Amino acid sequence: MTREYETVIGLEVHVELSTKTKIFCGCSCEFGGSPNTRICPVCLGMPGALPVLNKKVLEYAIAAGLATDCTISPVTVFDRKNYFYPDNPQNYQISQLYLPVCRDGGITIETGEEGAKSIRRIRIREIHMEEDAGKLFHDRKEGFSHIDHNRAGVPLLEIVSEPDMKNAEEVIAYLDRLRRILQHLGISDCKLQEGSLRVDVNLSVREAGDSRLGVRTEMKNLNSFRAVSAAIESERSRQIGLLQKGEAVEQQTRRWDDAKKESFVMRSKEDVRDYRYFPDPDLPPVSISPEFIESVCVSMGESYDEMVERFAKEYRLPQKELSYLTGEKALARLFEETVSICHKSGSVSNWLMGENLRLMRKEGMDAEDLRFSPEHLAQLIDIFEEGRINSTIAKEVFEVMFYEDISPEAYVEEKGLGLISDLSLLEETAAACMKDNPKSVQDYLSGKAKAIGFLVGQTMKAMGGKADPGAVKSVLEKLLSSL
Amino acid sequence: MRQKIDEETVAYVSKLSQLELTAEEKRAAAADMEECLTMMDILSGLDTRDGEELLLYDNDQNVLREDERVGSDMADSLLRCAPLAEDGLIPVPKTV
Amino acid sequence: MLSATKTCSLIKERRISTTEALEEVLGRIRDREEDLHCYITLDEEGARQQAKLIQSRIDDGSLKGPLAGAVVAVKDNICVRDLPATCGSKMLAGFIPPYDATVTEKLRDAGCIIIGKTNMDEFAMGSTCENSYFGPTKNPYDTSRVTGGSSGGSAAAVAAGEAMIALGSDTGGSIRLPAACCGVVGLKPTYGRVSRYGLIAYASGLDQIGPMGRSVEDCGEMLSLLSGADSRDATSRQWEAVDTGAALGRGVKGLTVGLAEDYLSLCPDEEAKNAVLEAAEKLRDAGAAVEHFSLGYEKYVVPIYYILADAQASSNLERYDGIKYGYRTPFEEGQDFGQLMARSRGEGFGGEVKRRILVGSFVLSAGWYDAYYKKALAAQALLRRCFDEAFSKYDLILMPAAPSVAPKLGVYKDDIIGAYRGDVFTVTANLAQLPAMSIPAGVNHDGLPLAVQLMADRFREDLLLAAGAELEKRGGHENDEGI
Repeated sequence: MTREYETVIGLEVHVELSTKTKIFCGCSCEFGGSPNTRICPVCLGMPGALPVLNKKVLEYAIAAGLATDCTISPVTVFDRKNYFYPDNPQNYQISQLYLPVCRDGGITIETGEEGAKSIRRIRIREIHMEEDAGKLFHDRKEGFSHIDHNRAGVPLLEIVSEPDMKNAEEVIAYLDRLRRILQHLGISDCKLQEGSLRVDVNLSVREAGDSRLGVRTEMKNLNSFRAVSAAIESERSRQIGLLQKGEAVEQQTRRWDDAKKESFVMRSKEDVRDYRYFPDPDLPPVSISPEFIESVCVSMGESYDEMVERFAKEYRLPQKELSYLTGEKALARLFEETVSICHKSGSVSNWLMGENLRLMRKEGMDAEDLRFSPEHLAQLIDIFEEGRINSTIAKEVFEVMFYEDISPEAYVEEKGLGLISDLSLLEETAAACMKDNPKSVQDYLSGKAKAIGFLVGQTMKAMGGKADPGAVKSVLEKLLSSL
Repeated sequence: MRQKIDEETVAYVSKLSQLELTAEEKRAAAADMEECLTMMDILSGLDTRDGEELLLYDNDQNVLREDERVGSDMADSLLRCAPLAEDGLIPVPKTV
Repeated sequence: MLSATKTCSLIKERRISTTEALEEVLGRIRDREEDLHCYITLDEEGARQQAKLIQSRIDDGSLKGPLAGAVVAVKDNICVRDLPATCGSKMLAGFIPPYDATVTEKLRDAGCIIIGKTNMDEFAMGSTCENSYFGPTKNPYDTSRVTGGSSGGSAAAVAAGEAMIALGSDTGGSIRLPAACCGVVGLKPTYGRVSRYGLIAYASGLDQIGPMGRSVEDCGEMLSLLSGADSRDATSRQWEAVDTGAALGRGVKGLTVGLAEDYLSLCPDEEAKNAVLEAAEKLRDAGAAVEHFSLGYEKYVVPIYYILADAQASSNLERYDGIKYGYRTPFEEGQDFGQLMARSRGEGFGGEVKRRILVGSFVLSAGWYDAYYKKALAAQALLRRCFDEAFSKYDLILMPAAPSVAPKLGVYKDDIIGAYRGDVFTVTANLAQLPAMSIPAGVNHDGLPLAVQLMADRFREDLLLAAGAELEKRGGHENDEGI
């Protein structure tokens, strides 16, 4: 008899905040830079150095809590998590355990296909602030690792869910929703591939109907949504496999290898660390007044859901398009600003989901990396829809605009790409082509309607492509019919 | 009730604290720790329930930083405190 | 030997130059340093340069403060840029901070001459200054005796004239105890009055930097110099500055003094006890109302202190791993990071430090945190409430500073707990975050210094100065003569 197993999944998501400076010192958080240049006595853990909390980190943490329906603690405390590791300058990490800044929230996720959608609320146990560690490089010299502390002290939010998720689809839905909400707040880039969003999956299995929780494992090193799904399937199978053999699942931390599509043990129960958490005496408790929470709320502006709702009302677009356009804040902003100029939401959406998306994918870009202005995009749409350029030219112009942010008007003018609307020139050219291609004319006159296509092509070519194919066809038809 | 501190506890705690002790030190540590903790055990006779509620009372002023860069210009001189630093990176023997 | 403020007045009046005053100090160092060993690092050349620079600033009127030209000895756990900061330990032997502590910057701004770094118990852990890697400092009154600790070098330097005034640090009595043993005034400010940035941490929730001098006035002036909130220390507080002149001249008329008789009864030395009773008499004569009362918690203060201090120290000292600074054991083939660190720490730290780290880690460890650390925190809160109640009745609290006069070297060698219990009078002020001062009260039958301790409510150092000055006046013990 094969037993039915259900999966119980909880997530710990780390979000790197996009503040200018680190959480406890004034060093820059900018990405990159030569190693060990964005350091000071505090983030390097020098003797006598002391941490001081960055106000923006607190504001962002509260914003994240408000956006995920959490209760904001009136007093929040930092605790030291003590463990020795070279990327940890003080050999303790300043984090929060006993009194995190946000608690007891949740977000709703939607799974399933059109027509069979399921809506669930995934609870968030807590959100807390902590500092990131430095980076270790393992391949520079035999037998040694090298440390770069530029990243040490970069602010992180850790978002801990309750084990409410049941499968990979729900996990991806949760992550996607979380990412949209947090990115919309402007507190983080939330990019899994870049490391500004990090996911650890806690997974256990149990027999269907059993109310007890099984032993869970923790999975790390998940750098894409695809890896998350694959890892969940793999771990679920592995655990079920063990139980079916009558073996026990061991509490472990495992590392996902996306190339091999398997996971390996990183830390087992015997290596479980005693972190000796205690309130950090260098950081007094932070009191969060209702006024402060209110000011954060006000500065947040429209929530993600409010924006989505507004988009649905204001721009009558299909769900799929709305979902794409609201997926990234920079994209939504570009869309809205362009529409506010040209008032053609359908067209803007088409261009953004069409040519723009194609080029973004080709260049591996995100919406915030786009170089062209809403004014220029609106301009392009206008001159195309007015018929001043045809679609082939429009795409060409778009591509130049994409890379160089040229003004489409000016570019078309300069390069003489405008459609030739001079009817007499059109008729002249068409007539010349007819004369040069008597066979096609004969074919058409003898009933092969499609032969006109060739003539259209030839006429377009003779006009350097700067004609509207529809207009060319009409002119040819008129001329041919008069023969 | 706390069990007497033995060498196993000393081994565990010294691992937690990353302290390599000599055999002699390990032996002495067990006795020393036992003495210290016995002195501290007297606290179990004090009713501290009221104290737990008082713990966060002294929180009048939040001390926070603005999110502005403060140049320290000290990166080079800080790195010089690490004798083995090379090419701006600090080496450690390979981590497990 | 004149007090620092008196000497600086002479300098201001052009009766002597900064260089002359400095040379006098250097002369005494030449005479006595070999016997006493107050200093770990002496910066004669640097001091001479500073003296010249300060003289010119006094001459052009840009330096007007009461301590301009004062020759200051700084405890070796306070960072002075480009001078070694060893904390009396092999672990930091050779560590030269490229940054100043905030207090060091203040000394420089005020025109003080920093002459060197004084000896101390390793990482400030000790009550006799015998725990220094560099050997003990000897008591100027009797070189077969200890100076008290942990700021032993600073106390002895002031007593022997090897500095005009000194900085120490006090976590459980480390300013007040050596001050008492060496016959000088020692002031521990309210926790938060003086910035801890650049003070190499022992127990962050208890440490404070404070002055040690030959007169109450010296300590008052130095306190003013050092005080003030620091944006680099989140535990520092801005508070009304003490008007030193007014405080010193206030007298004690109308003030109420509580003599803590439960603590007094713990004092095994009759002469030390009598010193306290005599001080009570003097204050009464001067117009204060003195009453005996029971303060409470006398059985618990030492255990509470050692739980909190050892735990915080065990965490603060984790950063010493030989990687970024400090002592590192010779590298062996095949060693990994953990082994390198554990051996460096095992070899770099002395016995007392290792003991406290082990106990500290234990009381924070899983399973013991609630029973020890959390309980000690709650007990500390109760103690503070107890003092709040006492200070609602009394302006000042009077009790012994030390259990006896300076003991002989080696007395506590096999008696750690005995040494700990000697802290019963001083740890109270650290735990309750109160200002406290140790004031000389004559000598005993062997000619060894006696002292008494005054405590005031938070930020009421003015009352300590008032009462201290009164006792000084009436005691005729102003250490102007020196030894």
